[in-house]
Amino acid sequence: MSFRLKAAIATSSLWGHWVAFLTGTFLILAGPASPAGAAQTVTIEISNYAFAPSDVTIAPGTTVVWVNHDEMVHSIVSTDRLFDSKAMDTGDQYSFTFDKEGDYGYVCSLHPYMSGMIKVRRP
Amino acid sequence: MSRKSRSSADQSLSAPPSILGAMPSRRQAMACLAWTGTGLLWTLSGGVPQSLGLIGEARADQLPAGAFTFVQVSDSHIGFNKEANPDVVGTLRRAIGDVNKLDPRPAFAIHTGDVSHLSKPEEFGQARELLQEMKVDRIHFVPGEHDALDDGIGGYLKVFGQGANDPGYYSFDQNGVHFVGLVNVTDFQPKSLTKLGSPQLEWLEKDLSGQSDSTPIVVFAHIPLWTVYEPWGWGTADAPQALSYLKRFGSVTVLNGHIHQVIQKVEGNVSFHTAMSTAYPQPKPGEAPAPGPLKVEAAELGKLLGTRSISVVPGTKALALVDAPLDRSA
Repeated sequence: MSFRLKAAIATSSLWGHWVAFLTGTFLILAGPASPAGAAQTVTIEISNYAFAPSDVTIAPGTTVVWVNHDEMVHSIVSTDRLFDSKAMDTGDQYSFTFDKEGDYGYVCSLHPYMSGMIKVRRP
Repeated sequence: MSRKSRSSADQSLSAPPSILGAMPSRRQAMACLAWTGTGLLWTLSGGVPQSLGLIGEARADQLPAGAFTFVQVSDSHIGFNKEANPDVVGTLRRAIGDVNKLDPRPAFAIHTGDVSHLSKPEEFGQARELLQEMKVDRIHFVPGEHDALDDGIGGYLKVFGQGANDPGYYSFDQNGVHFVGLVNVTDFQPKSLTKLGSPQLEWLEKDLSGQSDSTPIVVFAHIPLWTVYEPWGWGTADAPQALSYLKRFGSVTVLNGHIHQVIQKVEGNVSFHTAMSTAYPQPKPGEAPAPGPLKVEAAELGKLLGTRSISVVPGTKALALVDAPLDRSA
């Protein structure tokens, strides 16, 4: 094989390795291989016997964190009993990570007029 | 019938009129009204108040034969420690002290729920210990929603239940009165009132079927069995069905808790009474954005917490109820 051909092959091989290295690095930095990018956290504030925001739409893999600011205990239970925070007193937090697409209604088991909806959609 | 408290300046008589079993004259009725709030034992017969004497002075030999008294305490919320009352143990102890001063001694007590605040085992344990200081033979409990935070009412039943298959609702008879304790804190659906549920309703219908129409019935449950204020969940969606089973009885008294204030209603033969808490007050329906614990001036707290004594006098249709705040104006 001529030197020029060997050099060309060597160069393209090196370049290939460099591209492969860059691609791999990008994937690691980006987290799970999904179009949405890195996993996220969404916070829902509990205040004055209400969830704010009461309706959220999130991507699969997102973690929702509820924080109780009331001087009253609340307890978050999903309608399908998928998640249950148990008693959350003043200042307590509860997290749940939603992996699957779907509609997840929830309610405060102590005060059922407090309710919210989490919609999980692939972006 | 609502009762308004009067200042001591309004009391022009030195002793309350005592007119057991007779229709009062207007003057006697007005004189009775002047004694409202001092612990006067009332009975309602056909909507006209008749007094049975002052609670503190009524002695066992003054009550008709077969009469007995029981007390209702509610919403002790052991474990609550926020601004509205940092010492719920102290206020419960005062309430128990008031009950222990009653003469004649009450036969038993009913606790209409929210015994604990967070359903923690130590809260249930402490509540049970404190309530043992009450000088009654027995306390009958029903759970509140604050008692349903640990595997539903599983944690509550471990301390206050009757064993593995106890559903939490039950009935018992005492001196010719049929008592029914119901559970309406285990069913919660978004933006809905709570429910008693079909199994419990079926049990209730069967339980009442054996009682004669003339037996006085007392039903007690945590959440009100009529709709006091729907936006705050103060009601029970399928209570009307339960009430349909109670329709044939000549005397039905419904005792509830949950709302931490006294609201009463009479509908035919059924009288409904919610109770004060021994822990903290709550706002009146609609008078706040949410039914949260109401912080009041320290001097006012004792006027808004308290207990209730109920007397059953054979031959009278309605029971005599007296609500006793921890702090009573002279």
